[in-house]
Amino acid sequence: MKLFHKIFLCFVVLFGIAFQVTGCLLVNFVYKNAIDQEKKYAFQEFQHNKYILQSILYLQPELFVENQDNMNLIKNFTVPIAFYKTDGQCVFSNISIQPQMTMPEKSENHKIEFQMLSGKGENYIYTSEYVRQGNTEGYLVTETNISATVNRQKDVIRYLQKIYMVLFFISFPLIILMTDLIASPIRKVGKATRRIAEGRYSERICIKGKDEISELASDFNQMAGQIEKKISELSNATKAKEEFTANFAHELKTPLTSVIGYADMLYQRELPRNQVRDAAEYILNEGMRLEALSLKLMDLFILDRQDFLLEGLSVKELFENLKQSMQPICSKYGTRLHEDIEDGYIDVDYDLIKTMILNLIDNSGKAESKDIWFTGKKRKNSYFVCIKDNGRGIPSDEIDRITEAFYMVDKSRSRKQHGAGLGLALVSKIVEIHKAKMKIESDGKSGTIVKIKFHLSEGESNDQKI
Amino acid sequence: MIRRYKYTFITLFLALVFMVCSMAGMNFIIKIREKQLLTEAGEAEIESPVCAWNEWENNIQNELQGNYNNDRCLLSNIQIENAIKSWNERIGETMHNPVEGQISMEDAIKMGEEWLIKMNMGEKESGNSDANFTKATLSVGIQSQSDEQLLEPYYSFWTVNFSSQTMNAVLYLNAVTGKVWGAEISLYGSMHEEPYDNLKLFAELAGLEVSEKESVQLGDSKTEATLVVNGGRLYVKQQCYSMGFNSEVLDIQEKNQTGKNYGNAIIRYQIMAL
Repeated sequence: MKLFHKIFLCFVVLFGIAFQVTGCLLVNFVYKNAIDQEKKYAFQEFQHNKYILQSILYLQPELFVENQDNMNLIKNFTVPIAFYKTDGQCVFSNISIQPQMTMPEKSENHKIEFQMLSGKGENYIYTSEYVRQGNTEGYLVTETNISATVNRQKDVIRYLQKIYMVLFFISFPLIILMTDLIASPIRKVGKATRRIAEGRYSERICIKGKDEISELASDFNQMAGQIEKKISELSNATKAKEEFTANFAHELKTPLTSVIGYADMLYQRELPRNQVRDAAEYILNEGMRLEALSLKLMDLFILDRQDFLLEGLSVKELFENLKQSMQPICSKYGTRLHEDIEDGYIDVDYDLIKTMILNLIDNSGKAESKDIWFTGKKRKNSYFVCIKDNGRGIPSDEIDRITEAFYMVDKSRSRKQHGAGLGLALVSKIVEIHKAKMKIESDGKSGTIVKIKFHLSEGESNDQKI
Repeated sequence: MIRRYKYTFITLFLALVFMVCSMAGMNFIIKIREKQLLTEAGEAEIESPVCAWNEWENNIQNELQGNYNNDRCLLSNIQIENAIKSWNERIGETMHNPVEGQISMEDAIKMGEEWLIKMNMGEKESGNSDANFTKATLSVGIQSQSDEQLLEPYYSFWTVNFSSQTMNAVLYLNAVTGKVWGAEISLYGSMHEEPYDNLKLFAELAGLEVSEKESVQLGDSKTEATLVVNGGRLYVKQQCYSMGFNSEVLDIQEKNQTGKNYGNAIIRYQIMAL
């Protein structure tokens, strides 16, 4: 059974119980009130007829003493009556049913005995009290017919049941509507779940309101968003891996093809000495490129897998130490290095920072830069390192992809310079490990600016605040 | 199709079954309750709408000491006014047994008979009225705005009916004083007296203070006459209507000339508060 059916049945049961309980209480209240009213009326009638009897007995004190036919008395009374002597002998009666009543105590304490009886399709209230007039004493019993009231109440009950039936059928569409109102959001959630299970991760639920189902829908949408994001990330990662593998295979294949070609030529033919030297030089160059490629790949893998312990180092000292390593690169490309470094402490891994800066200097050199400006400045809690060159620059539309592995702006020149397209990918990874941020700016004509923002060491940062 | 909507059919069927069962259940419960209500038996204490009168004991003491006053119980002017207002403005009547301080039925009948004689109502036979007592009831007026409090016993009135061949009389006697404070008399045949001659007498018999200065005021329609009593706080009213001829009351001038008039008439005596 579906939730819709269950909710529908719940509504029907609730409606039915509410109506019947209310109806029952109402009928009971009205019925009881009507009967109480009838009792009051019967007691008043009794009082009236008691006075009539007392008046008659005042005029005819010997009325019930003699055994005479008193049936002509009937017309004096407003309701049928019976009169019993104190010994229980009935001296006069025109009532329909003889009630089995306990006669009240022989006193004038104004307590009226009453009994309600049904017979011959009629309902009566019998009332009785001790009556004394002159020397005559006994019990007066009056009979009040309440059939009209009882029948009226029965009509009310029948009418109520008719209303119940009509309302029940009228309420059916309303209940269905209400049930649908509750069940439809749940159905929507179910549908969306099934669609997501089918692979449509962009599926979302549109439910308005602030109830629990809306909250569930909102949570569901959030969950679906997260799943979609993760799936997208996984997909991108897979794509990146595939691309990486393809690039790697390509980068491996290109030098190997040349190496194999030249090696085969050396093996197959007798070549003059100068050609042998050229071929050997080519094989050496390509071998060196392969070596650089493998070293950088190893670095990349190591960066991905290893945890690094960062320690606070003075930027000035760091730069002084690195200067020696940078000099050969600058000399190799004929580049002048200018420095303007403000001292500051940053949390770094010395080897990684060295790799990063040497890679950036090497890139500037490869870009035929004549000058490199290395600046370092402290700003609040951060330390900004800026490496600016005046080389070829990077086309602005390629800046976003420059940190991808194996991405090269000018592949042929890069390969000629033993480049593998992994330098900036490595730099980017190192920046990430240092929780720093890197920004590359270039117009593709007049050099490149690489800005890296480091966090100052904790002690340094506190000093700054003070 | 049927398999697809199987549960819908089952649900509808269950809803209908519930409807029928709930109706049957309700009927069953109501039947039980009805049976309880219609077979109820017991004893009900009928609380009197009036309370016993505390001043009654003082009067009894006075009687025992020989200070018997013809006026059975004296009511203050305010009490008289209240009792009269309550009785005149009644929308119904609640009958009850006499309480302590109220006259008995026998006393009420006797006082009624005395009043008829004094008022010269009915044929006289050796100083007795031929009017026979027929019925007497003691009741208190139901007010439109009842505060459910017990009333003082002087709010109750005995309604005593007399009847003869020439007259029917309904007298309203205050249950404490036993004085006739209202009367409706139907006379068949001739009227012996001037219709408004008895108004002063009615006021005196009702125990009201009638000033010598005050005289009977005849209404414009000549169907009613009034007399201010109790220092202007109350007035007594007598209304006379002709019966049978469907005409206005007989002209007093005409009656004076002939000395006699014929026809059935209703005479109503009433005490009103100003």
